[in-house]
Amino acid sequence: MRTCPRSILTALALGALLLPGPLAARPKNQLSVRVSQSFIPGAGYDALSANDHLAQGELAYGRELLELGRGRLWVEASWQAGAKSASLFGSFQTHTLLQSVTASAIYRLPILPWLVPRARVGLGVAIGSLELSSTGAGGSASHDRAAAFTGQVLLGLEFWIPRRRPRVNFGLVVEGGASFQTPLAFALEPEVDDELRRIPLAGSELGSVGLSGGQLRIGVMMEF
Amino acid sequence: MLARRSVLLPLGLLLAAGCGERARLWGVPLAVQGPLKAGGQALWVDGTRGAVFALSPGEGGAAPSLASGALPRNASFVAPTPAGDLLLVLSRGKEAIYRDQSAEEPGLSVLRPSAGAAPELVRFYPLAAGLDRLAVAGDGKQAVAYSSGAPGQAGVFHNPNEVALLDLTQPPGPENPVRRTVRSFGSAPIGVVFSPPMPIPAPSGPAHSLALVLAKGYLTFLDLGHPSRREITVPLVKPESSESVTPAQVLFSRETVFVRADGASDLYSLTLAARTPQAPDENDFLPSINQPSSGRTPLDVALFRDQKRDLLLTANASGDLALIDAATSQFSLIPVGSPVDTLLLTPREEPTLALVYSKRSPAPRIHFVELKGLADGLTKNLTTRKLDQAVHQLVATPDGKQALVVHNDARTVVSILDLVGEHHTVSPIHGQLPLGSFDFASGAAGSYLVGVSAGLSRLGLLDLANLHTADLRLDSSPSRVLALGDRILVDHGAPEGRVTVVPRAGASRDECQVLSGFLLAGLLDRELED
Repeated sequence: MRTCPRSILTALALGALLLPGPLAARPKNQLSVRVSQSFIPGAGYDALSANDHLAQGELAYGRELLELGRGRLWVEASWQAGAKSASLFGSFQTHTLLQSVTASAIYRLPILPWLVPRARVGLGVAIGSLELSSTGAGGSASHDRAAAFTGQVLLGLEFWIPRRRPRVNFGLVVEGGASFQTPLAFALEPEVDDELRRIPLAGSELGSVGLSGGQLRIGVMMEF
Repeated sequence: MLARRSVLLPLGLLLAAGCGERARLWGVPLAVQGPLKAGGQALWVDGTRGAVFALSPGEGGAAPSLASGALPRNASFVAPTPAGDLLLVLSRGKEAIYRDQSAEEPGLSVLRPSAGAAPELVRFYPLAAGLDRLAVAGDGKQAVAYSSGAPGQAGVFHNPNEVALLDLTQPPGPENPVRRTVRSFGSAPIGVVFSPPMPIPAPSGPAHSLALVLAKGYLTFLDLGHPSRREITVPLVKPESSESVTPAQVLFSRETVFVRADGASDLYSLTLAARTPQAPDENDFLPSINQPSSGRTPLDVALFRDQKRDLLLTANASGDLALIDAATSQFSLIPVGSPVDTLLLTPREEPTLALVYSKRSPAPRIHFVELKGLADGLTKNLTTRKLDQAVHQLVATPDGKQALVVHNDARTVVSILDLVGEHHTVSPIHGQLPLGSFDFASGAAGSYLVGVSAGLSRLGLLDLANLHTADLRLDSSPSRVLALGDRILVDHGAPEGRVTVVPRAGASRDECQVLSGFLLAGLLDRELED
């Protein structure tokens, strides 16, 4: 009999935590560290990677912009980077570094204090850096950079530590969707010593690679 | 619990997303053959990806341009036609082992290069998989595909004596190519030689175009005008003989075929006599064999015409020359006094001079034989020139007025031999390293010998009019040089493809251009399939 009120009190306390709290109490800044896995089916990507996926790391800062309906609209700036290496025909090695900056609009709709679905639309710029070296005797290396526009549409879920009116809180985010990118066009021109007088050199167009595809992300967030 | 599941599910998806592997072909080494000269272009064929890369050196001040096209994969043999207007590529085909692979048929691709564009696939003749060698007639109209007998054939059975007769002027069809098996005495083809049109009976009978399939111990005649007729096999040794005789050289006079064979002590002469066929598959000619003996073992033989007679000149193992009348087999010996095994007749059309030397035992001397009146003059027509360095190779210049003497020496790289007049002067040309590759460039700037030495980043130019030398510093080590008219291409042998294009002899470095990476051009745009 004496345990019954204690159980009720515990249930009430938990219920109070799980119930939606007042939105105004939540912090308006957010820092995120994420890892993403992209699935890129494009043909050109085969020259840069032995498989179809690309793992990248991401740092992001977000700020609440305004209330919109039952949710809130946030904006986020992020920097994403990833690298791949591949061997080609037993004679060449490619090293690719991909970096992008993205500005995103995120609509967050809290349904529970610890569970917040979100939808993201982002636009950005990507820079690809490709190095191709021949592995045989007297091998040479070529290097080129290319830029492209990027876009992404992602849906996700945020999981927060259930705390009442925290000044700082921590959470986990999982997102999935599609990323789009205009092709990165690379040329092949050997690295030469600029100090030397050389015969005019013309490289070759390697072609272009589009890195559009599906994307899954997971990360940790800090709100303050 | 819900939170844990929500985290594990995307993690699982993240792992699953990485399952798409690229085509296995990306890990297969490139099999690049070239550069080859055809249609005024330099061509490279990559059998791994099934691609041909064409470099047009640019005409009239135009910049060099590169283009690439698709080909069947697994090229086993690549050669231009004798006229240099087409490129012929034999491919082994490909079996589809995995579900995502597509099979390819073995066959012969005929490509027509065109300036500034990728070579056009004119025709494709399906062939049996084991045929990996090709012989083409001088006029480029007919070809015979045969097997090299190389190990590694995939099938349970492989017939090394199967040949395919191709009429390259006609599209592929049920009768083109014609598949045949040449009758064998236990050997397999080692080569195919085409005759010029031979009147049978000579001199006014119907012309026959013949293919001679060479095999160890015998020859096989095929009438290309009637490919369904039976072949005629002619043994070079008696059945009971243990001699090992391998045909090495075939020459054609109007009515006779002359054969020099390694291991034989004499030449063979095969006279083609007319006969009336008794059945549709029988031939209307019959070869009869004899040996026009000079009593010497010939190591090289050349055919020329003088005083309205066909004459054979042989360089013999006994260190002398033999002059044989092709019609009567009468012969005369011309002592030389040193080993000789190679003859070079010049000019190519209606030769008047034979250069005689030894490739097997290089010596610092060249023998000259004036062919005009040789049957009467014999030793009077022979002169000898001593050189400072041993002669490894003699190559006549395109105009036939000079010959390049190649020495395998780091100091005196080559000599230029004057063939005009009686004195035959020899001008030594010094260098730093043995000549690795050379060609002759000719155009408005004159005629030049162009050459490179491996390990020396320079292009050497020798003006054949005045023997003035010039040098062009290159930016990387060369592997091969070739001339397309007056344009000079230096291939550096880089796996990604790198050539230096020199617009003409005497051009400055600023007028030249290095083209790099062309064998990987379009790499990101093309999907490779297994």
